[in-house]
Amino acid sequence: MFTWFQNLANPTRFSELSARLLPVFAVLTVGLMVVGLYMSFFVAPADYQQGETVRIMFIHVPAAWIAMFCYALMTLSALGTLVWRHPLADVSARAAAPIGAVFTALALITGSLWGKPMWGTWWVWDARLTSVLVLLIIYLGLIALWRAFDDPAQAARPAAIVILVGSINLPIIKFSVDWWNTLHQPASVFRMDGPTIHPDLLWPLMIMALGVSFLFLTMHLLSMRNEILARRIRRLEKTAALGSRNRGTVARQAEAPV
Amino acid sequence: MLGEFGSYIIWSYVLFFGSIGALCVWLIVQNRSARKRLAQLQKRDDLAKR
Repeated sequence: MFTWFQNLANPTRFSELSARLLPVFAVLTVGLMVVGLYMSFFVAPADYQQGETVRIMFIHVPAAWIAMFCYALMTLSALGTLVWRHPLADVSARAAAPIGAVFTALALITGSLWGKPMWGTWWVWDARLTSVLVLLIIYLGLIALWRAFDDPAQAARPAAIVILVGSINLPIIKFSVDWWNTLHQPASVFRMDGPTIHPDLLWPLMIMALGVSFLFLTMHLLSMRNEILARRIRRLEKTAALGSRNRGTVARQAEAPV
Repeated sequence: MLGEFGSYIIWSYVLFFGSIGALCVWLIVQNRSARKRLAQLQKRDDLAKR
């Protein structure tokens, strides 16, 4: 397993593997989304308290889960950068940030669109909502940090440290509904004593969550490929600008680990 | 069909799939332009070597 992971340190090998995985993930995403959407609108009944508005949960909850999962993945990538110095770890973290930011923003917006009819307000400064807003700010801050450096290799370490510091927010988001008195409801799926949601609502939610997970994986792979290409271009442009004497090495440098 | 709060549900889905769609298009466009630029640079490099 570790050897396989090490083999992926070669961007060319990673690009080959991701090219094979991308169509599979894309097909799974579309298939699961179509089934999930059908179940969300035509199979799931209206909730006895929330009524039809419960259908917003089928996109809000997966968006919130992926927002957190994405940051957890970035935390692992940051460890990969600082501890194992895996060449693709920084690429993975940087590629995930804009996707995580979009999912976090979507979790906040769809939550707000659910909150207005259910709570009577678009926003409250309760612990869950505020900690997710902090997550969005961390994502945006990291994107700004990466953009501030001309050379992505120089940004790798500071970004990894910021990611690790920011990861303290993940347990705060998860347990905010238990630690503080929040308007946001407590966990109803991932609980020690099992989900409290009726299976008629749980199944569409889980299928949509699986579909959104494959969507995230597809976008992350594509984004990583883009980042690898961008680094190769940067290297070639730099070498061309320097008017390197040993031009023969340019092609080999472009294939070298990022 | 979606009751009195139908517009909230529709807006949620439109924003969700609109944003996801826009992100996918951005990633695909970025990929295509990067491939094109890389091919150009490699071609220029090959010519320079000759």
